[in-house]
Amino acid sequence: MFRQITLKNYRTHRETSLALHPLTLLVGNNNSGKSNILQGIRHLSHLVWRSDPHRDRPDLAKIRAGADYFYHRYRLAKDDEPMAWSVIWQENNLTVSYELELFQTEPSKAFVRCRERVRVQSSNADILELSSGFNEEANQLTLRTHIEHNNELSQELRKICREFFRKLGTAFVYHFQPSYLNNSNDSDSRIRPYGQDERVAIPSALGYEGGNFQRLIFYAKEREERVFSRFVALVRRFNEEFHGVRLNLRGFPIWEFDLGSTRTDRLLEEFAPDLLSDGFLKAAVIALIVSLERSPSIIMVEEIENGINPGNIREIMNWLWQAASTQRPQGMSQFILTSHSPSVLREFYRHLENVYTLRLDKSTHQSDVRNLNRSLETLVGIGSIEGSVTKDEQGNRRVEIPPYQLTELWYSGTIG
Amino acid sequence: MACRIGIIGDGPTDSKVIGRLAECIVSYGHRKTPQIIELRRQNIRDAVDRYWRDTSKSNNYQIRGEAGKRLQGQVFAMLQTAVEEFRTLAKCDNLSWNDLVVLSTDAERHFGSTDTYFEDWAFHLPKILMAAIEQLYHQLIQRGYEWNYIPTIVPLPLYPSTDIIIAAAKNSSRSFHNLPARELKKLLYNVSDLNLLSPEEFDRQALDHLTEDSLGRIFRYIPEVRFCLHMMLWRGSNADSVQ
Repeated sequence: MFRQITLKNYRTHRETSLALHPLTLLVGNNNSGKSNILQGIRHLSHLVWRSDPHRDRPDLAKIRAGADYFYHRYRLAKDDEPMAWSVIWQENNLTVSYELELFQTEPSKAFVRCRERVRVQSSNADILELSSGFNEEANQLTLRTHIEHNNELSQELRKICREFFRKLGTAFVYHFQPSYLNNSNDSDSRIRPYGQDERVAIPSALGYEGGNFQRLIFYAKEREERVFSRFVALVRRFNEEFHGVRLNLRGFPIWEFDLGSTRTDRLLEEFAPDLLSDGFLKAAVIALIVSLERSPSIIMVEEIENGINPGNIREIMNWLWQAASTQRPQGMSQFILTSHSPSVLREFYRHLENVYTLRLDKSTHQSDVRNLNRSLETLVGIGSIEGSVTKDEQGNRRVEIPPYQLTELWYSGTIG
Repeated sequence: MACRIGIIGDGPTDSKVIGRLAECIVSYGHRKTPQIIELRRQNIRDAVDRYWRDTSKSNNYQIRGEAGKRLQGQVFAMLQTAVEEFRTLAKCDNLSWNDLVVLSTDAERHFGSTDTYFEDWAFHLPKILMAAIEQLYHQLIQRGYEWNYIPTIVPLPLYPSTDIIIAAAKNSSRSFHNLPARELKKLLYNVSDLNLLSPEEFDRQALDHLTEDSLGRIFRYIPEVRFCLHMMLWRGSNADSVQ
């Protein structure tokens, strides 16, 4: 599981460090930098994905000055300050930390260099430290290739590093939009466009706004039976009349509902996707991403509450918690959510340490990111809000306040 | 007559536990399966939290006190919506006395011993919930409903949380009433929040323990469940299966 991510000089984040949990929530005003955190993680994930030595196109590992660096760099950073990420990942008593820096060395904007470092530690000793780009200038991400071709490394270490980079390379951001989710007008939805044998990686094919959702539902039905069964079971919890999805003869998806018809010729009622409610489609697409067989390591969802009635938020959040369970047989995903809703915040009342509040400092144009548990601990300590502070087994201090109080703090402007 | 049971809980896991308990009880000796309907959009968690905020074990907890009256009003308002939602989800024109609504909530207060439930401060919460239920019945009768078209509503506040049912079902040797909700969860499932269990683990660690065999332990160790348990049992013996 990823434990921590740090962004330096990425968009509005001068230096932001987040402890990552199974579910992490970011709340804050518009323009406070929530999406920048998600895009920063996605950017790092994409760079790591491009540096895979087994990829057909080695040129992908080359850093592009504009798209990879200048476009995203914190605009008030000094010239000699790199744009950087660092990540900590833990599994089976091993800790892998990875750092990546992009920086400019030449006066011309065409030259952007990179350097990487990976460190593997067990509970009591350093096992491995490898780097690239420190001794010689490089504009290509080569550390993964070095690890793969380094015969001095044990198979076990290579396997750990491979697993770490594979997981880091599967982080996806979504901002689901109803007008995309019901998109069934882009011709035939049968799975033919993907080829007969090619396996569709649903998380990447889904698209940022969920534009391929209608196709992928049918793909899941045809090729990934267990995913589709789980999807149907979850959607039925949202709407028990939902029966399933089929394609009509022209290849358009049709959603079927059992509305209790007693006619013998047609027991199910059929609806085109654009006749379905926005909230139902939003719940359905979330049901799909939590039903996947090969779960992405990090799934980031912007404004999770959009279109969903506050009364249904608990159900959706329950799906996410269960998909983030470390005991999940098909592997867990970590979720990072942004929200403008107290209904979502209340679902974290037992996990305030998972919540970060963001604010944009107008003088420096930097995002100020604070952990809610720590902020509330101060307020509870000075008695300005009612609550209690307890210590968990690790000695961490945890604030406990009832959910209604979180809502009140939200509406009074203290949070959010 | 079909047996429909609507459940008001604090969250999806609470509804699942109480739903499974209801299935066990109703099917006890009859092989009848009730129709469980989760009333997901309703809960009284905030109202109960505010009630605790304004009361203490020695003050203001009474049914006639300001906090008690406020809680009664809030529960009464929620129940009106809950009955309508129950009717909609049950897909029937009329509910009847044979339909049951379980009004459950996590009290988030723990006891020194099981008998603490009968101390005045703890026993007032179910009393206030009962008063709200009576108020609803009264209103429905005034609106012209016949007694046999009004669903039966049973209060079920659990101290400290729904997990006390699982604790009693799992273990016969002791009461867990003296543990706060978080510690109880940690002890039972090794997580601080039931949401963190996968559905399979939740079944294995919680729901699978709710069997006909465990009903005796639940009845013995959790006094707050007894009234509800008897009401369900009676429903089971009088109702037809919906399946």
